[in-house]
Amino acid sequence: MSLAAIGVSKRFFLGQRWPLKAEYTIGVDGVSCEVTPGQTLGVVGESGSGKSTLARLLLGLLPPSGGKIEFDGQPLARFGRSEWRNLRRAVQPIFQDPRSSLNWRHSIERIITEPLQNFGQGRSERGKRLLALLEQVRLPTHILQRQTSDVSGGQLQRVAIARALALDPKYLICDEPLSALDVSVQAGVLNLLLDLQTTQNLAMMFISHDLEVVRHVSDRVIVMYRGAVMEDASAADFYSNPRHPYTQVLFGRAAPLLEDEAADLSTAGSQDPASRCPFSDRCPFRRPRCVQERPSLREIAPGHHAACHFA
Amino acid sequence: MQAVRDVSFEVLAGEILAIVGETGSGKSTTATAMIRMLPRNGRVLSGQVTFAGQELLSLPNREMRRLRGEDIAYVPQQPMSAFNPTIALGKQVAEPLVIHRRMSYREAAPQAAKRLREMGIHEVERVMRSYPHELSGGMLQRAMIATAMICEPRLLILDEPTSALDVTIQRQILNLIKELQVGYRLAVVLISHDLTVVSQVADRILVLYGGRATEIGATSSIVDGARHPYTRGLLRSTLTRELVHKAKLASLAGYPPNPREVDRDPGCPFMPRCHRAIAQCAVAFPPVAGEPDHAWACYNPEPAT
Repeated sequence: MSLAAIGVSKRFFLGQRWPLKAEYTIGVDGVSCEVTPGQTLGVVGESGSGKSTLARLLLGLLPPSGGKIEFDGQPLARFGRSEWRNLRRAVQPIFQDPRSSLNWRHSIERIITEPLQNFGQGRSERGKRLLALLEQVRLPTHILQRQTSDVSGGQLQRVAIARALALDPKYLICDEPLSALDVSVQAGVLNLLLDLQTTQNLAMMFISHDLEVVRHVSDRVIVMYRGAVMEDASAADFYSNPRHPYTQVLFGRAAPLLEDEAADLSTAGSQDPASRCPFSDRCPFRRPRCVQERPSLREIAPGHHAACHFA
Repeated sequence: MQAVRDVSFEVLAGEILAIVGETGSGKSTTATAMIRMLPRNGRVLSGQVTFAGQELLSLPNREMRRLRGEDIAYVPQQPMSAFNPTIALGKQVAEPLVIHRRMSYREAAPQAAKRLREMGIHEVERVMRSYPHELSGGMLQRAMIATAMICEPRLLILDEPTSALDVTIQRQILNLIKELQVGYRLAVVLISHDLTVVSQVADRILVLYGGRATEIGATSSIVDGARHPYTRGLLRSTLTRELVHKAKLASLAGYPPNPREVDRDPGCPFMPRCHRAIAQCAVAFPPVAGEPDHAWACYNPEPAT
């Protein structure tokens, strides 16, 4: 049982330039990772690093440009109608901002029960399930008839969680589930997610830019930069002994170069992004080799991988 | 509706005061009311604002406009949308000098370049020729602060200066603010929703909840010895290194009040979520208790630590 990305890449088409050269931007670049039951995979990185694109690839919302996504060992690319339906049921998303991810024209009740209806549950079954779900996410029944605009952000994120749980999923893909919430309600939502994981043995992918939150929930952590994995380690190793320069920058143990300080070396070496380290233009420890050869993700200690020549 | 009610504080030269609160707690309203930049549907009902002995609320518009930008600088939320996308950045950074000091852009440009360099920007010429969409958020935030600093103000107000930025950049901007405050003996008002972030740089912290001041004090006395149950709860629910992996966090029950409704309630806005609430809390907002250097508004405060 697992949901896995195997060397997955995603490019987005930007447009064509004369003479007929297609231009792409790299969203995700050769990422491998796995989400397994009862475990949380933490994904950290700054904005634009490809965290959300990776989430959408795993959800099957985007087709990869290279590599493959496997669900229980079967590649998504060969899925037929019934397999897709099965996947949609087993893998559920929780997005950052429930106000924009939930349909504001629907009542809370309809938002939560819609998946049940889609999977053919009858009215009385739905009613029973709805009450159970509300209790699980600790929401009062009186909000059911309200519209999303009459519900606070914290409550609405619980509504999103209830909707995700409606079909007893095996996997939750959480993309910054706390960032849009007020500080005083974040802890409550986080407790709820952890609770659900232990009681239902859920597999979770938890995307966040907040290192402390990721530390708290994750069993394994990957760090992304410009679409590629820079470091991949168990949460314990990751926090006690971060090895990649970018991770050290994230932890505040090293200061990154500013985008313009780096100009001298950025123009040196290879200009082909495939043959230089993606972090080389901000890395405080870079050496000439970093702009001539792209480091591959290699095992530097048992179960601890880093994409750096010198880690 | 009343967004902010009965909030008092002062900021001294060479000091960073952080205003902390959640969405709708009245942080930005407090700041914009001070400098008379409230949106058109807002007005100050009562109270006063004094800056260096001058009463600001009764000042003629002309005078106020002179003060703003010269002596008091304001950095709005979200640098990306605060700049004009159709004007090169250098012109916008130099604009306060053109307006307040009647300089030509040619005269003002070297000063703008100097300020940008102070903010840690190296390729100044390129940055000044660039348009906002060509630069990163961190760059724009530096440029925004450079614009605010260009007339050497005495008071700098920053509204959520780091919230839109990535973690690595956040740290740099906070250090920059600290350097400016020390170097220029600036009075700084730093608005944020994140108590842990501001506690790294602020000298004093004012906590707002539901449009009311709940607690104010030196950073150390707030972080280590908060007396208001809300502040204590906020601090307890943040993640710390000591916490056991995947263990439950202490969390505040309930949700912050709806700002549209909170002013109808005579009592303490935090009461519905408070574990120490007593009967009095529903009747009237508690008076300020404590000493001038650490005060709280609560009938039944947490015991001192």
